[in-house]
Amino acid sequence: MTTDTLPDWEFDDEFDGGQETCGRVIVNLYLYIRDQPSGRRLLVISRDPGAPVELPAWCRMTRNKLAAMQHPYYLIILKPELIER
Amino acid sequence: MTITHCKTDGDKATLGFVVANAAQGSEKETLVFLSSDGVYCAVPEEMAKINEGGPFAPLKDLVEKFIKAGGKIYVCTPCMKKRGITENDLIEGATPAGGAALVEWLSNGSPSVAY
Repeated sequence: MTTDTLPDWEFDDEFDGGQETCGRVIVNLYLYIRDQPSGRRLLVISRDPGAPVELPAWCRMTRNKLAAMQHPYYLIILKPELIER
Repeated sequence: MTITHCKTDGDKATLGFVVANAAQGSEKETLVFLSSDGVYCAVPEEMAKINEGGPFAPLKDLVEKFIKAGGKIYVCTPCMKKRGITENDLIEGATPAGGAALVEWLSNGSPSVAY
């Protein structure tokens, strides 16, 4: 089962996937972050039982960094390699 | 490998797992993605009902052998949800997953076959 206690993570913003699963979570998340700046720390909440497999796969493909996960909570840093130094 | 049948076509479900076993047994890392009616292939009491007869082994044997050989099974979560199947109903070794996991696997260049 899932622990529903929010881990002690620092984040800038939150995206709740609600009861959606699979491609619906992914495309909603994509549309949500599309215009957001690199480096932003986003807390993603997804109760999709597939999320522990889906969100790491999505992060690897899109080069967002999965900094931590504790289902249903996922801490994602948006495109860290695009941060201007 | 994607399999979209179980109750709807036991023959296709069986053949899918025969080929999956051949792939895994040939030391090819193999993923079976179950979607649509195929999700029942990961539910023990449903897979036990499929037996196409010789020369094919019962579906349950094929699925168990595939998992034992190290094959990976992903089960489409919205397809499960639609049918009232939960994580706890799945055979050990099958994982709920979805489009992102499948797309990553395919986009890494894996060939694929559909049943």
